Amino acid sequence: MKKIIISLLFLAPVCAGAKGLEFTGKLDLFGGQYFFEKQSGAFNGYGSFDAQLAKSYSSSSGFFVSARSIYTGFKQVNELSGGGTLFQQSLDNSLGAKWIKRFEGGFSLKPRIGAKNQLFRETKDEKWGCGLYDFWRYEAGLTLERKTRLGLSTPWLYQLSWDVYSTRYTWFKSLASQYGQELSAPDPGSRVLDTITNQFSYESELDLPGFMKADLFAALSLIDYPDQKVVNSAGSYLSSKRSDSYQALNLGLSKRFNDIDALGGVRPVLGVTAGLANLISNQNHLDTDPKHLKFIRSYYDYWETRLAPNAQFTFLSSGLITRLGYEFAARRYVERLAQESDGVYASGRLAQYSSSVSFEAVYPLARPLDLKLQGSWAVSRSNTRYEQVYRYNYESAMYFAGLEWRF
Amino acid sequence: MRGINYFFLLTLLAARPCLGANADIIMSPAGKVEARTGPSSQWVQVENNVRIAPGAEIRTGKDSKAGVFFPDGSRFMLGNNTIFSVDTANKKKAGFQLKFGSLKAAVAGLFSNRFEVRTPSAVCAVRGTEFDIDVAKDGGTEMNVAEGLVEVNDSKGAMAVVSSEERIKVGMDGMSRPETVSLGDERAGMAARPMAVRQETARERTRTMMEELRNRELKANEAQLGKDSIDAFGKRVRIEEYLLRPSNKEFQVLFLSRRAEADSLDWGRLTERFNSKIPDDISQVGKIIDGMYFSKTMPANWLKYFEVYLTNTIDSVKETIDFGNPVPVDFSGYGADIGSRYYPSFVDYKQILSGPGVALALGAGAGGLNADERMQFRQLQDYNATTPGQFTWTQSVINNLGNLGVLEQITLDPTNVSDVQEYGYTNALVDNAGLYDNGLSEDLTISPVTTVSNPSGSGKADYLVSTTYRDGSILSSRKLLVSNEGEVLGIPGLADSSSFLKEGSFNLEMVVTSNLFQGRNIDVLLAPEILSQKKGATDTPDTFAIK
Repeated sequence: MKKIIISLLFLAPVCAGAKGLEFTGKLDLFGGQYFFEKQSGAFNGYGSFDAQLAKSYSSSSGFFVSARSIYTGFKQVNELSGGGTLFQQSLDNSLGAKWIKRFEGGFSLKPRIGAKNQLFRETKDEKWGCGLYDFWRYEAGLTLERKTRLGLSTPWLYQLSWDVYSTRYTWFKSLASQYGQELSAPDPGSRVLDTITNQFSYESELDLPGFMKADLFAALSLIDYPDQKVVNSAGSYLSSKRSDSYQALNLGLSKRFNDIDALGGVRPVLGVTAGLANLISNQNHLDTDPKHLKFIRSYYDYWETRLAPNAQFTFLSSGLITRLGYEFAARRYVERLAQESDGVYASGRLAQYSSSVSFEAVYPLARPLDLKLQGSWAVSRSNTRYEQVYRYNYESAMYFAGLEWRF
Repeated sequence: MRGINYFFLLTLLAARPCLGANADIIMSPAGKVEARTGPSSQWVQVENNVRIAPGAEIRTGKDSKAGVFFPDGSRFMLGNNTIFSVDTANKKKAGFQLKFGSLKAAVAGLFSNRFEVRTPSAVCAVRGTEFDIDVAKDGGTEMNVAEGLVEVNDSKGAMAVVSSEERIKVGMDGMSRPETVSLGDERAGMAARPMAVRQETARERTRTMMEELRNRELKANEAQLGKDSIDAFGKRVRIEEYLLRPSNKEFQVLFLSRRAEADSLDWGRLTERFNSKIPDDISQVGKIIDGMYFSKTMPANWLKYFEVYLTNTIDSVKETIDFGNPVPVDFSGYGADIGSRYYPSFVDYKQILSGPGVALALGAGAGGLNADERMQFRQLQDYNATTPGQFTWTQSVINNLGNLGVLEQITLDPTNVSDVQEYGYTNALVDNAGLYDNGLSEDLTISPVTTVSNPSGSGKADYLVSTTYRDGSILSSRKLLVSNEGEVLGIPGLADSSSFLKEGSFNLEMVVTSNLFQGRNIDVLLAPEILSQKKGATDTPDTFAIK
């Protein structure tokens, strides 16, 4: 995969010289650091190459190939930190191709295929390509798009998509499947993290008068775990497999306001996004901890809400763009119980709350070259105090700075 | 083609990313182009680039055109036979009029707060857009947006946002509904043009983000369930635990620790077997165990057998406890009102090593054990069997010949007030360790040498106990409390055995080494509660407070 992407990187500009091919993309090179509570990770690099090579045959048909490769030498705040490790390096490579077929009346049909490979190093002795959570994902999708209008005033674009993702964790197999037979261990399945997801989504974008934009995204994902068996209250693994259903609804609204007549002119754009999500799973959990053995039905089911206001200020005299964002998220598990600090189960359900603040500044050094600085701080709180195996209450932060070259 | 190149060059000239609104607007003529500074001024033919200011008018002749370039990179291309004027050009508003003719625009949108082009029949507010406008002799306006958005107002107060590949006609009597240009129309964009590809890529990533988040969550769930950790030595350890029910009187917890990089598997098993059937809800068994000590009445059920087994798949250490049936014991030494309580008639704790190295040791296989097993240590506490009416506590260890010999034997009378005080005793029947002030000296053929240390120093939950037996065998047990990050827990002072019995937010890492293990060790991560239970089962009655 890596070789394919590197080849593409070198071949793409050459191909782009060929008739009708357009090559666009960007290259990011940053350095940064991650902080978890009072610990800090080492200063490390972040590099991202993101490019598309497009070919149009006419106004009605064309295709593009997209390639992305990201190396992260430090952890991101948006990673679920509580159970992770301070040290993390990842390499993410993806390659995809999409065909675009347009029809009269604003209709388009867009089939696509793709593959993604993600590699992790999370301990210093873990070698590249041997990460426990390394995975390959194969994707295919079909999008039906309609570009039309909502009344006289508003352009309206909506997409109906079906995407299928098959994810295979290269190394991750349950220990019981490897060693359990001679130990009379139950059989929970072998490749218990592998999934096949069928995602049906609807996306709608409205360009409203007054420099406003509104968008809506709704998705239903049916996630099958072909090799993860359902556990029952006796600790037995049934023949039925885990199956999840994930529903999400996101709404976004943004508006450009009049320029502020200060500092040479500042253009504000304010926005807000809100989201609601729900997971329903048939998988249960049996806590085998001898002190507080507990069976919890529908262990993974939860409701989650998010609210994220954001603001962007463009300084017209210098071209500096600053972005400020805040996000609050609350997740409440339907059946999973909170635990006291000694692990004893409480009567209330587990709830998690997180807040994060992010800041970004982009300064144009030249037309295709920007200087970027990003920082984030996040806090996570929960009503569970049992943190023997996972941190629910913590603060984390990160920053990175570097250059972005667009081509 | 010539026009396109020319346009491109001028764009580069104006290609600074952003400039203040006070910077100049440049008009660049091609062919017959005239300009004037205001309606009352004379038209002057322009042959070279000129700066233009508010009030200026430009008109192009037949086969002529003009480029208007803004400091933010925006540009207008005026077609032939066009009349164009600049109304305002400041930070708040940049207003232009296209009175007649055609205009092609590419607007960056940073020059001014509001960027507007007026025609006799429409006002077009531009967001960041490529579009073209044609104004006919009757003032009717036709606008095509190639990329971006333009807000169009007509003279009747109607307003429409016109987007990419849409066109709108605005007459003096108002606007028509914007239409999508036909794919056969030359103004239709290419199917995979850069802006469309960028937008499509962004939408696709929004959809894919759902799957990305699920992948992250799967990983977090593994951690939340305690299945993924880092040990004290920086190695990733995968942990799985399973509950087994071999019979309705018994349950087992199987715990597996796998270090992929070291290609090692260490595993262990906790077994609890009861006298009679236990509930399906295993969480109830704790009450059964609590009820077997000092119960006023005969317990309904009790623990018969407890085992912790740890192995690296080659060597193992097994700790077993057999419990006798509860019998009534007079505990009046604890207080006259305590009276008779039920207590296990015996508690027999054994520590057994096994492995190919153990098989070569003296005494291997003795006492009915397998040929590669050897009992290293035994502690038997019985009531009324060895000493009538008293508890007898007998500790046996491997001696210099590899046989299990009695190291200590003392008695405890539960009716005697001084005996039941902590560490109280009535009589040392055997004292080969020379612990008691009774004139008996240490027997160097049996008394093992135990050293205690804290490898990480003071302030860390790291505790090593190493015992050298008289046959030369050494058994060490190192306990560490580690976070998921592999960080050893900080504690006040020096760690001791009690530091590891507290439940808390750390994993217990237990490393068992022995010179009988031929260089291997057993290194498992487990819940501290397992140790708490073992300690609870092996405590002698003098360490209890009876309620």
